[in-house]
Amino acid sequence: MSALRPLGLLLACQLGGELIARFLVLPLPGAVIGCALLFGVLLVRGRMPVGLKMIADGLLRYLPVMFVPAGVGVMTDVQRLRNEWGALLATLVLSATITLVVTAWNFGAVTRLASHLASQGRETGDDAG
Amino acid sequence: MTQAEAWNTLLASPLPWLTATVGAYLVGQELHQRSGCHPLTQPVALAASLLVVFLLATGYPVEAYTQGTASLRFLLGPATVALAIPLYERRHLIARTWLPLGASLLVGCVTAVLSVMCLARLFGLSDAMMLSMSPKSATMPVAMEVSTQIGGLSALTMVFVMATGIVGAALLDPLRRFLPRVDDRGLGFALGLAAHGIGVGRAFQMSPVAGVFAGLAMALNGIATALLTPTILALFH
Repeated sequence: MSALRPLGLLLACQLGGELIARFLVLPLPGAVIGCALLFGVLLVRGRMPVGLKMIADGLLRYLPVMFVPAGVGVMTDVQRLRNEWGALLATLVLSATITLVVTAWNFGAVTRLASHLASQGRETGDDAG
Repeated sequence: MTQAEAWNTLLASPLPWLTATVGAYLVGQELHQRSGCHPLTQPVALAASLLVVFLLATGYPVEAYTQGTASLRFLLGPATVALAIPLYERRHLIARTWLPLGASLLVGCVTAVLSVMCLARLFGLSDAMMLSMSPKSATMPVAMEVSTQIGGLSALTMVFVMATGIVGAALLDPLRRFLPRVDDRGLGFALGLAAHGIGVGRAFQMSPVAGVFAGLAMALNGIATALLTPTILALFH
């Protein structure tokens, strides 16, 4: 089993994404387009290439290590954070709270709506839903 | 070659900085586990603090460290591409629950980004701070890319993303009491969407179902944030 092929696939998808982003001047990170490309490749192939999951799991599991340099880089911006820390904290905490409540509530409401529609569909003998 | 020269050529290579980074992370992980995996002791934050203390104590410039660890930053790209794999593995689940997933993804992503812009205006934050914080709910590699693209500072974004994860994970219990009718799928999805990887970890502590939906939400919101943030920003102005 070679780990080189799945690694090549990951890099090729990212490169494809970067090329698309640059030449079509899309306001999207190339890696995100690469993610869509890889998803498309997997759907077309219909199975997970050997070794790809292993590499991806490794990358995603040790993702936090890659953030350490950025965390150290904050050192140079500490003064700016200190100047606005109150407003920053308020914005962040409120925004996180609102996002959580709205998303969870919305998920519950749409789930109930979907099951309601489904049961209504069954009652009228309409299985389109 | 004098001893000082030998030392300097070594410091100009990535090796000592990468070793220090991995070492500091291992120490952070150990401390995190000893604290009973408390959300306030994220291994990344501990590792970064250790390295900052080290740099301050030794007087080595931050730039030397940043340059030495550029290769780690490169890996964020392939890691973003790899988000397609959990999505592919859950494609049947996505097909089954597409309606609540799609609706909550759209509503949640717009809320996450737009609420930052509105609150930032309300509290009088500078534009640089607002832009850096806008993608805070997305998974780190995406958030940092989006931030750079819209004119934010990715180093600041990283702090906001981390803080959002910690705050989001801490809010799970109050959220559960506040919305008793929402099941584990909805709570998990909200946690993964609003609080990315840290939220996913917290969701798995609650139940496997919550964890699966949180993981799905994290991957989907990474893509949605990248797609929607520039548009939301343009509309906001």
